[in-house]
Amino acid sequence: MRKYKLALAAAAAVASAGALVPATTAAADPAAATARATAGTEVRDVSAQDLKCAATVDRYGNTGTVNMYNARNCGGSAMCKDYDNDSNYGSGGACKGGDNNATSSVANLGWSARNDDVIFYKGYYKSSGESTRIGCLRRGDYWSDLDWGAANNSVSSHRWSDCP
Amino acid sequence: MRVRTYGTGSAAAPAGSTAATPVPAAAPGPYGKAGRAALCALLLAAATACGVAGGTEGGDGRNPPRAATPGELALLDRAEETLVEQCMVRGGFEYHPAAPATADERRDFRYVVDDPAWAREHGYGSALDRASARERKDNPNAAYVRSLPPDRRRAYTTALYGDATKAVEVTVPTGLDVRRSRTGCLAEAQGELYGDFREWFRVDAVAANLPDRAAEVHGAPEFRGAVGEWSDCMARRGHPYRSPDDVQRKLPALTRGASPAEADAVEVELATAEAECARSTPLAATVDRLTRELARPDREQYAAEIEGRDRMRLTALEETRARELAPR
Repeated sequence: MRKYKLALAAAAAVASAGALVPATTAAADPAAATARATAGTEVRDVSAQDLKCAATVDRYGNTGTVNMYNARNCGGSAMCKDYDNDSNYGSGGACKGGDNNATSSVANLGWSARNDDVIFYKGYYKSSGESTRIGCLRRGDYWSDLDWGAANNSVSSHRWSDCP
Repeated sequence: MRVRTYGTGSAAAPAGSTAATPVPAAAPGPYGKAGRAALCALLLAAATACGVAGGTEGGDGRNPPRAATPGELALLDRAEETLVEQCMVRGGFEYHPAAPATADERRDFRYVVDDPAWAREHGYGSALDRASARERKDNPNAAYVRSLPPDRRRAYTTALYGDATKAVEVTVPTGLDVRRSRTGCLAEAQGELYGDFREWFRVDAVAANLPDRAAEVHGAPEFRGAVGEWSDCMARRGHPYRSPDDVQRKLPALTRGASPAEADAVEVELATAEAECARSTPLAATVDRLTRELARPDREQYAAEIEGRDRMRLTALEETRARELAPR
């Protein structure tokens, strides 16, 4: 995945004027981070690897749940699928045991438009001093790769909501 | 935050898709005829929900546009669902628009519950969460999809969510990449409602994913001091807890084995005390001030996207209101 992004950034015309660098650049590789931050809006073909999240949506249909995968790009069947909140992947709920701190990609495939966003956290979301909000994933959206946000293998709780 | 496109055969990125470019002031009218008629009916029915007066609310180039109210967000949800329904029906499927989330459901008390009225009614929100989970599992769309044979299910998914190989992606402030298909009824509805699907996706994803500052809040001495005063207040009321987080850690044990009604009653009692103490001590005000101050650098860095989103929302609202008055 990293090589793919680097190669594309090198090949594309880099328009660095006005580019916004993410507030938290988590990548360990500075060159990759720079290339990524300045990548433009050029059309990119999805690589065979990138198509897996699409394949998940296609093959498993509309499951009505938010699906967590322990591989990137929604590889394989989902580790856990949930209609509900799960405040602790380590115990109870749809995500259990080894699902904790193992998520590398996510697809939100909810059926209803009400409270259809999912917010993910490191730690126990009910305790604000012990959790970090990773992000909000709206219905129909997916994260193919949590690496860039330093969030890989860090998700340990989620809740459904309407992100403001 | 630039939006990247995935999918073969697409045109080059449209001009102006850069972070520094503001949303065009005169967005093209986004609705088709059927869309307008449906939205007129929708708005007539929802007329009482349209609250706020016009004026500079849309942003006049000097003042930033204001944020949409919960009632307005609900209106936008309804409008989007109406457009999705029309699109799905055109595709040969049933679709049942969901009622928007209520203002109470949209509340998010990250650090402490500080609204006694909400606490008296909802405790910590467990009953709301339960109802919400039930609705996601068993709403009319769920029943319909489950009734379809597998190949029709896949067609439904594609019709609603689009072809995931034809996606747009944006890097949000936390560094994550978010992807969304640019085909399908959700994308089509958003494009119609907001006038520019790519730009809407970009500003919305960015504004919804500012970095989390909870660690900084908890590290602030004034926060710790306020929590101490809150804890004293709670102890005086017979609830000895060190902090709101302490309550949350201990709550499962308090309600273990209780019926939902009993558990909700425990929640209401505790949450009401929590909220009243938050108000009578500096805790609620300290949290408000700290979260605002700590978010300021992010809000400045991403002001273009935040204001862009507010502006696109207000424009969409004005369009829907205008159509309420249109057929004369």
